[in-house]
This record gives sequence, C-alpha cells and structure tokens, in this order.
Amino acid sequence: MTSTGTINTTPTRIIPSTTVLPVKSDEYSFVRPELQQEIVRQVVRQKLRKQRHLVLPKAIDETYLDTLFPKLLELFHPQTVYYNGGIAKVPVWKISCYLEVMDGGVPTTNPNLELKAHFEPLLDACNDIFLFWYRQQHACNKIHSRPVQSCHRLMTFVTRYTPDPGEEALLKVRKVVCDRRFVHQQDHNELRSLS
Amino acid sequence: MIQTNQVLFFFFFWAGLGTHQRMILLTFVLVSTKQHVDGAGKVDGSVVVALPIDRWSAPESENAFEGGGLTFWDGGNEIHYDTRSGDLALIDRYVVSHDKLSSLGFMVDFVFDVRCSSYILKITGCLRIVSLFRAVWHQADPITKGKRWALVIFYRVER
Repeated sequence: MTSTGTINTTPTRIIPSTTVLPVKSDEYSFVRPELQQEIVRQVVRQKLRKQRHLVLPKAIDETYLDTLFPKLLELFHPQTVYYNGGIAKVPVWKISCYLEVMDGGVPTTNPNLELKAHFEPLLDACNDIFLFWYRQQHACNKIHSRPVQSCHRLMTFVTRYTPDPGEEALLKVRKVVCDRRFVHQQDHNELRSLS
Repeated sequence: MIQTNQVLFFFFFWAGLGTHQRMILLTFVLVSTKQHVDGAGKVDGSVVVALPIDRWSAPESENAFEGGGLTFWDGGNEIHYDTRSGDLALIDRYVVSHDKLSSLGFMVDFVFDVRCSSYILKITGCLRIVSLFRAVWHQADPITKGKRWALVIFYRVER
C-alpha cells in the first residue's frame, strides 16, 4: 500500500493503566522476562546520571521479530511524505512506511493498516513497556501534579535505512538562527505573549 | 523556527537621551547544532525497536549493515549504542510548558538604571527559560553498507 498526500488518520487507542509489566502472560512471551526489574534498576541509574533515555538490550525476542519479518517485507512499501523542510531542510522523506499517523500533524499519509495489524502484538507490548518506564521515569517528580494514567500512540512507522544519500540515517542538522530580522520579529511576538 | 528546547535571552536597552528615546534589542538564542527531537511538541516520549537484518530477500551477508546504531546527547554526554535486533530504546520527550514554568517562577525580569554624567541608561531585561527539562537529542547513525530496519513509535501520555 503506497500512498501519499491527503490526511487520513486512525483514531488513537487509549492504553489502559498498568501497574506492572505483564511480561509473563502468553501474549507477551516475546518480551524478556526480567525486563520489569531491569527498567526499575536502570531508571534509577539514568536519573543519577541526569539522563532521560534508556536502551534495553534484547528487550524483544529476536526470534519473534524474525517471524514478523517475511510479512513485513511483503507489506512494506515506503511512503513519500512531505515535511515543511524541517530543521534539516529535507522536505521529502521516503524510507518509512506508516502504520499510524499523527492527528492533523506532519508528515501525513495513509496508514498501512495491514502492516499495523501484523505488528499489533508487538505494538501492544511496546505500549506496556513504555508506560511502565514512563511512570518510573516521572515518579517522585514534583513538577507533575497528577500521575500518568495512560498513553496513546501518536505515530508509528517502520523505517528501512540504506547507504544511499538521504536514506542512511535520521540526521537532522539544526542551523543556528542567523536572520536577525526574523529573530527580532519572533522576539516581538514572544514579548507580546509575555506581557 | 524557535523551538521549545531552546533557551532565549531577550535584552532590551532603552537609552534616554534628551527627548529622544532609542530602544536597542539584543537577542541570544542558544541552539543545538545537530541531531533531532521527535515530534513537534505533541510527543511525550518515543520507542525505537531495532528490527532484524533482512535474511529473506537476500543472503544475510548482502543485507548486513555496517555503521548504524543510535547516538544520544543526554545529561551532558554523547552516548552511542550499537543497537541490534530486539534492542529497545525509550526516549523521554516531556518538556514543561511555558505556563507551568511561569507558575513555578522561572520567568525573570529585571530593570536597572545606569547613570553616567547627566545621562540615564535604563536597562530592562527578561530571562526566559523555555524548557525546564531539556529535550533528549538523538539520531539514528548512518549506515555505510546493507540495510537497517527499525520500528519507531511516538507516544502521548494522559494524566
């Protein structure tokens, strides 16, 4: 399914609140069993390092991902999406296939629902892992008045990187704002909002 | 163009000279020079799952990639991960809103006068810290050979 252009979003699915990572159920047999304990342990370490990311090696069983791959190859059709140029000034992105797209956001394309259905168990597991980690990450944070109840996916896509120019990485080079007139205009707007 | 993960400094100088008023605006924008953050203000976090090397459409030796992985600029450090199939990255994208910052007192305004001879230079400044929590900048590193697959999910949390 290859399509470009019009906005066609899927309704976001609210993921129910979970207090533990249900890794022991048959449904998530492909999630590493001791992942919950590792997340708790690693989040503490990352907080001490003042870091806000976490990489979990072998969180998903490689053999399970292997079973997904043949059909992924069959269903994967890169979709061309057009950004506003972004900070990389690269207006066309054409190495991803979108399973879900952001409501009213960019990039927009028609989601590949077949591929989404194929990845559904993995997406569900990712939801639970993310929610469990995010709660740990923001626990004891005085900034937040309310605890995290749930989460939903805004956008989901599969990307195939190649060595070809423009397809080898997700590099987005940010340029220093140098147009003083533009900065001044921005500042006037900001100042109005402040006052 | 000005992103929420940047720190803006506005300095206004009102120079009083007789009946003539001059306003001088100096602006400093601290920006990162590389990488990206996910989404456009809607994303609270994201997940990246490294997918297997394609061994089905061609021999693994042909599709096996060189390079790749993920690099994060987080907590003042540059950290590279040589991610492989099954590795899962979690990225916190939460940024405190401007309204929240204002209520927390992270807006700083100052006014002071500098007297020099018979002239008065009135200096008014505003320091605005747009994001209390810095964004986690990261990038998928380039590959030089083969193909690399990844599943990416952007999340929004509900409180």
